[in-house]
Amino acid sequence: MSLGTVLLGVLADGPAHGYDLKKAHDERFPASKQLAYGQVYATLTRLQRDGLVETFETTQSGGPERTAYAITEVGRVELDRWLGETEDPGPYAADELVRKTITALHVKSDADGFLRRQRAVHLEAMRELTASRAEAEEIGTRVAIDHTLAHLDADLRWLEETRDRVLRTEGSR
Amino acid sequence: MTAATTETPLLSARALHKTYGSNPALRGASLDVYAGEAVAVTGPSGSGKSTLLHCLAGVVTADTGAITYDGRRLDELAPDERTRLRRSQFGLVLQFGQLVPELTAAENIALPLLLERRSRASARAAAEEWLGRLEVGHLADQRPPAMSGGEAQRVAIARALVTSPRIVFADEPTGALDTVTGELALEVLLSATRATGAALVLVTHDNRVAAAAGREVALRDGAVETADVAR
Amino acid sequence: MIVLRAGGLGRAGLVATSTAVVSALLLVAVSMGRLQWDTRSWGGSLIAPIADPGTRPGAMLGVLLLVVPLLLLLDQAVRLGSTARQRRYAALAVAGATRADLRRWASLEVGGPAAVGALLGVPVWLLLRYLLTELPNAHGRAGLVPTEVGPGVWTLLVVACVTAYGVLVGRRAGTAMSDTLAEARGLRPPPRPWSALLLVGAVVFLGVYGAFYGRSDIADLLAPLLGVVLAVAGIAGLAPWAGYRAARALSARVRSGAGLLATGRLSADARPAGRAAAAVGAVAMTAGVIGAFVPDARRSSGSSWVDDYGIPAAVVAVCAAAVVIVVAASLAIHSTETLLERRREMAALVATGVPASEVATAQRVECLIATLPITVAGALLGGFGYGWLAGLDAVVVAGVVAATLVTTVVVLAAIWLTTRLLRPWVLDAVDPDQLRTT
Repeated sequence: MSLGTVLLGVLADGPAHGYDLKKAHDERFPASKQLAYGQVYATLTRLQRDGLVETFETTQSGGPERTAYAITEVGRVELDRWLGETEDPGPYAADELVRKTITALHVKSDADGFLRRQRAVHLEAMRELTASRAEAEEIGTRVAIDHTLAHLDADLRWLEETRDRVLRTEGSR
Repeated sequence: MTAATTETPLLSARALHKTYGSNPALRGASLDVYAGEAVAVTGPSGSGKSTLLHCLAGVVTADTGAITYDGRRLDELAPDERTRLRRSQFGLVLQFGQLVPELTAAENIALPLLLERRSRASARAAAEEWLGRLEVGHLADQRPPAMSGGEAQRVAIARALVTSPRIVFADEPTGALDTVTGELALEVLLSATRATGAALVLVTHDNRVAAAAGREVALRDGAVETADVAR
Repeated sequence: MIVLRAGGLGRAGLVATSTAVVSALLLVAVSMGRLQWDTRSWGGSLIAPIADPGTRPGAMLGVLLLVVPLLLLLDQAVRLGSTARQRRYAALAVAGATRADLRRWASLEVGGPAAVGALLGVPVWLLLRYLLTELPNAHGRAGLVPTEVGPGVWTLLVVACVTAYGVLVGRRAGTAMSDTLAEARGLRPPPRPWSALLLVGAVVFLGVYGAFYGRSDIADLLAPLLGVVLAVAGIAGLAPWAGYRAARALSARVRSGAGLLATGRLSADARPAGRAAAAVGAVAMTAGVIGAFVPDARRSSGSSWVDDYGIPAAVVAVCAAAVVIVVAASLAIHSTETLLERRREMAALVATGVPASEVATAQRVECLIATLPITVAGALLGGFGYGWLAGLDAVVVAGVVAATLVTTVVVLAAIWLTTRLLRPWVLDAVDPDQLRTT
């Protein structure tokens, strides 16, 4: 579960309190499930223990203790490693893929490279499925593969559109 | 663009430029095709895919750049020689509108063979054999207007393969067909080219069609953006 | 090569020219008619067949027959470049034009130049009158065009009729624009030889009439004419069927790509080529008749046959050759038009390795298959038909054979010439640019 790295991606914009972090996550990934505070704090604790984030400042102004977290250098390295990895293509709602893509765009690292690598992986998965479908004798098998291919194709087309948008935005700068 | 294989490519294009009027269709596209492989040329519309295909197949000549086929410079051949090469060494399958409507399926397929000086009888026999292989033997004496899109495409594929070409060029071959018919036509095209050992250059904007080929060359704005290494 | 698409002006020019000639010829025919029925005079300064009131209706018919291939050419020329025009009309239809609107515009597009041409027919007629009045002759000077009388008030009728024809042709072309006939072409039933009945009818009629010969002057005049008209119509109507059968017979035997394309095209749609070939058949019949007539006239008039009948025969021969060229042109234009309708398929054909020259040759072969059988048949039929009536002997037979050969060669040459002239359009149609979808 890469909620930790997703949160690292949000923190890459700048340090934030847990509450603001949850709000930023939910705004950034509107299609994903909204996070619970407990989840956020538990993840932040784990990240801190692994040295990927550090506490920034603690304010105590008549309210509950509010700790701000910031990403560390090690955390940035881990984030870059995660963005450099491709997601396994699959037929189900590609939540991870979407979150990683959006993160890549925000972090402004090599988004284009990420999209191209992901495309190659998706296309390869489609190739294998297409080949096995050609050999399939039962209609049930074909139908199942059709479904997976349709979804992979949908993800692939979304990646192409995203890349198109990225190139246009960069082009107009 | 380094190749993982050590063999020389069967068809090699370098730095092709082609402009139609004020529209630059190709801006320095380069590509290799190896014997027996299936490669998909992809890209959005306007990226120059069809123009690249026409240049590779010797249908049009690029403004600048070099195309080498089997050691010879394709762009330096005389038009007659190029036509003969297209007829005997290359096969072409288009999206639609490629069969002569006044000729029967068998006659359409026999036509290139007649030009290769085969006898009428042997040309007809070859045509019928290929029609049978692609499961449209019953259409031998039918004319294209009486056929469905999928049937016509199979006849077109037969025509492309009847001269035992070494490379088959297909430009959106399933574009005018519905999903299932298109998928079957694509499978027919792939298995037939594989069976004859011909290479296949497949131009498409559809990922599902591209997934039928072994590797991808992606075009954007008239130039090659990414090209998978050949295995 | 884009010149063809800018052919709006060229097409208008062609329409105006052909209507001008048609109009002039009709004026000549009307003059002859007035000479015959208004003034009833002997055309002193005219050549024998026109001067003699007995044979004058035949001469008039001859002039009228000359008009037919021109009308055919007009009809054909109006459809040339129709694919570009079709697209334009289709766009107009999408923008809200109704069929009636399209028909009206098309009628104007052709009717306008036709009206101009019809009026121009008057100066052309005057020119013909000037040029064709004092031709040298053994008996002195003789002319082809009556000078004593002119068409007079009938001129208005002629101009109106020619313009009306132009409007009608344009209107018909406009209607055709909004339909797609191209798809239906491949599946229409083949032509049938019903016209053979006309030929048989002509023979029977003449044979039966022979029993009544001499009872009435008028009938004696009109009956042979009617027989001739029936025979000509019969031959003309057989032409599509003849072309179709020739194509089918050859299609199993051809060994070249051009042959396959030609027989295929003709088998699929023999009618338009057949219609043009019909005119050639009629001309061939006339040539055959001349081939028998000349030796026969020589035999019966002795030394003065050249003076009395030689020049008229020569005139008819020249007109026949001119008609053949005009018809060959219309045939070649039609063939090119169908090629342009199928430009995508033809371009794909060339892309797959069929040389463009093969496509051009196929066009020529198609025209030849459509015309040569009917040419030979018509010439032989006309020649031996007349010869049998006049009395066969070796010279007459030789004359018929010679006429057949000459006619065949003329048809061959005319088709070769016209298809050669249309080559640039053929090459444009098969250009790989036609394959681009964007």
